[in-house]
Amino acid sequence: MNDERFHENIAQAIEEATPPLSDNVKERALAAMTRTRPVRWRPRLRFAAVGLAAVVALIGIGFVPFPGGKAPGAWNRVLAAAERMDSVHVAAFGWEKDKDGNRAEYFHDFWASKDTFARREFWKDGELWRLLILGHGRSLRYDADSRKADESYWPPAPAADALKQPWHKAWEWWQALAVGPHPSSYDERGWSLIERRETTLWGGSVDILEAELAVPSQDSGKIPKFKRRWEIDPSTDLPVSIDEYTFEDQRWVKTYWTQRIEWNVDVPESLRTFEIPPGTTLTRYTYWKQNADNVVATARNAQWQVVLRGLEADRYGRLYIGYSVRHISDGNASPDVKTAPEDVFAVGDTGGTYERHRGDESLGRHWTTRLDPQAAPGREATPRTVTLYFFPRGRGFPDLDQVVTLPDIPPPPQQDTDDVWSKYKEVIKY
Amino acid sequence: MAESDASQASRRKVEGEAALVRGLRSHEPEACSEFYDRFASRIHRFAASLLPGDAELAEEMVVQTLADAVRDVARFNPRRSTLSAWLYGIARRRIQAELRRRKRLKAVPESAQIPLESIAEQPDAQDMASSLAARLDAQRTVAALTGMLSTLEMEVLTLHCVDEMSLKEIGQAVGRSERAVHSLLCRARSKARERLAPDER
Repeated sequence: MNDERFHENIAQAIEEATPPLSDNVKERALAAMTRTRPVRWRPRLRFAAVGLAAVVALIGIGFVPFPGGKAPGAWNRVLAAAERMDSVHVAAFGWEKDKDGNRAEYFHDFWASKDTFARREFWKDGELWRLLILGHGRSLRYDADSRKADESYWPPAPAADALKQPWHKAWEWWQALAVGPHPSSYDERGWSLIERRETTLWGGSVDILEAELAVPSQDSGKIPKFKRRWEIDPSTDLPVSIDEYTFEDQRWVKTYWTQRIEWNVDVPESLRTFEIPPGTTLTRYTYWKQNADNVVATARNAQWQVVLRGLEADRYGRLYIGYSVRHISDGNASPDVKTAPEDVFAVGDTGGTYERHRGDESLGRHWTTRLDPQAAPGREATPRTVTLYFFPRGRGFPDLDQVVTLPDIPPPPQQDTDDVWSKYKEVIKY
Repeated sequence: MAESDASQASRRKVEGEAALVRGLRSHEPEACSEFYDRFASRIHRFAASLLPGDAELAEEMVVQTLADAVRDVARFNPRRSTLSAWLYGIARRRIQAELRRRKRLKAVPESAQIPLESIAEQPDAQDMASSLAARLDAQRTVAALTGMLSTLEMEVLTLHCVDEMSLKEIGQAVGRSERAVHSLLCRARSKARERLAPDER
């Protein structure tokens, strides 16, 4: 059987096997065709849509970051870059648990400028919650929950001092933008710092700084507790975002995230003032407003310079002193002191001592302290020297470099008051 | 002269198809009716060969194929294929989808068989019984072919033998090159011969 014949047989079998179409098929087919509306087909549009989707997908993939190795020195570059800036504005969100354990989100608005001005605002539910204004020798804090505010003054740092230390302003940024200690003391305080880089297919890159605090656990391991993450633009070395996390239930929970960070912005003049809301109780501390320029006595050694700014006594013979401390670095006095005097005491003319009554109150490098006489009643002494220890006394006699003694201080006038500090405090009800 | 006649006939055919397609795009009822008259039985044979014995389904494939064609008539490009090749392409996609859904049919389904009682009720019962017996034989043959050949081989064989389509047209319908269609056809023919004409080997 040739092909032609074979084909005929196949055709015949198929034709015979095919029953005639039912009578209603045409009616059904026409109805179906009539019901169906021709679709306007635009192949070019379809190809364009598919092409566009592919391009978008490729671009999207191109922006996905992947590890790009370490970024050594990134943190130092950030500090140096921040030092070159004149001002910064940060808008951020965060949340914290309220007293009932519920998440309460807040908005954080932060402004700072190179003249040491800084303003922090925290908003909750559209209402100002907390405020802090720093600058020009004054700080003002306001808390809406307690309806309280306090205003303090301190001696403004001479501009020349700030200029001597190039990292001084960066330290202000650090205090403003960061939580936790300065990276130079990370190791001793249980922090770690990772500097790495992420890149994308399109050649974009971002430096990542991750500072993490871990605390020792009972099983000799370490438990992560807190993490702060900066994204740094390598082209400017400036932070473009800051996130904070706390470790809860075996996972990191984001608690703070920036909406935007703007550098070298114009700080509105209106931000430098704040109208105390009615119903607020303001407490104003004016000690340093009145005593910043006093010089009662001075002393220095190879490492420290101390200026006694105020020396007063109450009716019980207790001493109230205010002093400024500066660290000597390379023969010059540094404007920054990050070590508190470990102890302060005075010695009277009869050998009796005056011991520190309570913790020092610090305003940067300026301190106030009350010293109480230790002599038995009837053996009151007139103070003659004030000594500051910058090294724990418990470790033996401190090195002479760590001790500064102010000799021959003038006898303080005894005032008819129970508390000398109170005359430097005003309470105003708004 | 004969060549000229063929050329004119070909041009008339193309012009007729173009008019039909324009009518379908305009959704004219007359065009739909002409479309049915021209292609329904051919699509039906094609469907029946791939769905042997399931007459209802084969008819449904006809209805759906024609409706799909009207819906997508804007996609038809005469420079790419003939109208019939394009239509068979729609039909085979429909049928393949159905086959995938129902699995491949390898025997005459019970639903396709006519009850003997109903034959006795017919006015010319003897002629009808004879006719049905011949059809059932043919259906068994087609079912055997369907079981033996791949769907693609069966499609190519049907389009070539029954519709007498050229290899090029078949290629347009099944999305293969002429050479591939030729190869498929040879393979299908070889397999079918083993089954249908074993004595001639």
